[in-house]
Amino acid sequence: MLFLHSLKFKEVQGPQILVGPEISQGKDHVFELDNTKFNICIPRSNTKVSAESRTWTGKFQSENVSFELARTGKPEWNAYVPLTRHWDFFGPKFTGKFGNVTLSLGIIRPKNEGNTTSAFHPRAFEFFMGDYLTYSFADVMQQGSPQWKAPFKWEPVLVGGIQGVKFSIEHANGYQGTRYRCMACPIADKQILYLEARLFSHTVSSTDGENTIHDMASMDKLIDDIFDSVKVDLSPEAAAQQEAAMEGLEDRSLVKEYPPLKWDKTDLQVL
Amino acid sequence: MSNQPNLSNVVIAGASSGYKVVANPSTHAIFQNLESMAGQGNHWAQIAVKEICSLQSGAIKNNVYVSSFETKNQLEKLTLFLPGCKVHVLKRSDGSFFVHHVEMSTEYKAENTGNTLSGMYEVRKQLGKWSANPSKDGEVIELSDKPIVVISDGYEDPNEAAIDCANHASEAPIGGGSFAVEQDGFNMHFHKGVKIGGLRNIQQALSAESCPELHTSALHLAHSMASAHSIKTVCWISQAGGSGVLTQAMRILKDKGFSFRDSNHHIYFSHLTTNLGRAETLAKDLGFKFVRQTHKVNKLNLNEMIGGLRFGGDITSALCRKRYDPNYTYVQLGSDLAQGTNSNLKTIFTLSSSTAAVTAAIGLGGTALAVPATIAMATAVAGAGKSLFKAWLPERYRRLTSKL
Repeated sequence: MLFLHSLKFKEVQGPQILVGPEISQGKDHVFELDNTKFNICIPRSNTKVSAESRTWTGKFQSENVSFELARTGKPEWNAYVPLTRHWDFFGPKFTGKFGNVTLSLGIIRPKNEGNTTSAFHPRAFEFFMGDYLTYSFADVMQQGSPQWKAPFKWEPVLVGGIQGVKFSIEHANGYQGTRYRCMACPIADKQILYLEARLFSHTVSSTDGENTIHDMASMDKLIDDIFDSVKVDLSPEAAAQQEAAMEGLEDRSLVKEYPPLKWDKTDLQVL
Repeated sequence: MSNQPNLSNVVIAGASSGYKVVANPSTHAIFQNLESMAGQGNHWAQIAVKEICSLQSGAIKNNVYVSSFETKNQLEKLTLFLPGCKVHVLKRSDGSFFVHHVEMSTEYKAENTGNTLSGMYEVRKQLGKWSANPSKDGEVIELSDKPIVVISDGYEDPNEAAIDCANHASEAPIGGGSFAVEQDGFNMHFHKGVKIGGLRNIQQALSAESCPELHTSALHLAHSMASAHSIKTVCWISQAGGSGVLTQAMRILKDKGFSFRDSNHHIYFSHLTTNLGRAETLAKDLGFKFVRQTHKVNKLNLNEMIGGLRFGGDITSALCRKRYDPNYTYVQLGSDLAQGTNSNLKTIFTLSSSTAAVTAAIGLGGTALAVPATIAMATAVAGAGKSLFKAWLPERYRRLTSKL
């Protein structure tokens, strides 16, 4: 369907409405980790870039899989990434590629095993998310200032009966051509299911000299549909951990609003 | 234009030594803005200010990013192509320079840029995918004791450039291979734009060192290379058309009188699509080191064969190396020539009459279905299926082998 769009035979001016893969082209992928079942509907990668696509299905135990550093060179968080995808998005027919989306699904866990806090506890989960965002994005600088701000559009959601959250990571200067859409929920005391989608649009030079970007609505729709398709069925052990963490709590919900974290030099020294 | 000094003009450089660099009030205001941005850590503004002030040395004759032509009244008109701006300068008869106009680029406006400007990036694996983030001050980061810097071809997305650069760095004979790349990450000089050189842009392939489209990016890279001079060992790897940016950057450094002879900086050209001979000559002149294999080219890829080797450039390159490298023996020369020219001759002769093969090799599209058919034919005729697959569909070949 997108083959004609991927060919580049003509130039176009101005921002375009991007088209790309849709959830209707997706397939269900099922895998298990420590007897917790995960199900996600996701299309195949369609890119010409030699990006590695991972699709590991089957049943695994944490001690048998390879948890690598969530970010090269920084040991505070580990991640097991069983699924990655890379999709190109295009303009009208015969105009070529104008953007891309990269998605990673990972199981992340903090390296500090001495911490006895459970990720199922709402306050602990909020703390873990803030800590992970600081670990991943706080030290990324552009022209002397932090490049990213997060979280934006914090939205508590239910993922298979588990309290989770959706949010965005955006440029500190408001540029919308590159941004992240994320979803996370706890799946064990020390493990969090974390989906991170990076959306990118080529810049467009307008006639008035101001740069702009293409319409990325189709990218957002694809990510929304994929996030909505995620199902998690906790193992008996994980369900017991969840119950133990929530015991005695009157309000088990996450905060409704979570303003963007302030990353300044003080945070960088801590990192 | 009168040569008499205008009292409202301001001296911005060369007040006490060298040639005076003078600006009119409106241009001076822009220059002060650039200085302010440079002071706040804006890397491209730092380069622009430095290059404008360097006019005081008067050494602008061979500057590749300067276009120059005579005017009527014994004044020389210059245009400096700098990151973020184009600076129009008049050189007066007394040798001083008058900056009369600065055109700012909208691309470099903070709200427009995101993270897609040409320049140095730090590339690390994040959650299973390569992630490129702007490097602080545009400098090479010592991610290990032998940092790797990959100069990318033209891309719109630095993260897509990072994927391809990671593959090329992993296959290069310098830098430590895929283990070092995965464990430590690498630096990447990202070039924002279209693919460089090759068959589609043959003029750029042949004369990359003076190509105007590469000026800004090459200037960024030259500054990064100059600042990395103090690092003992650096591995510079060009990825495909990145060889064009690297060639021009080396030309800029050579004109400024730089030398890397006392360092252990190595260079390697991976699948280059611009003139190999010129690139190797500049690298040799600057004192960069080579390992035994200086470059890698797919002989069935016409972008690399024509743009990079110019149908025999590897022979010229090997002969030139024999002249300047005392450790390069005649036995090694003969071996390299035989390996480089004869390994794919059988395949080339078998398929030389195949139009589908040629069009598939240069990737002009429309014959996507012909490629598998041609590979199947080549497998049957010459037993060259795997090498053809790797030559014509290198990215798919890498994706397939990564799963094995």
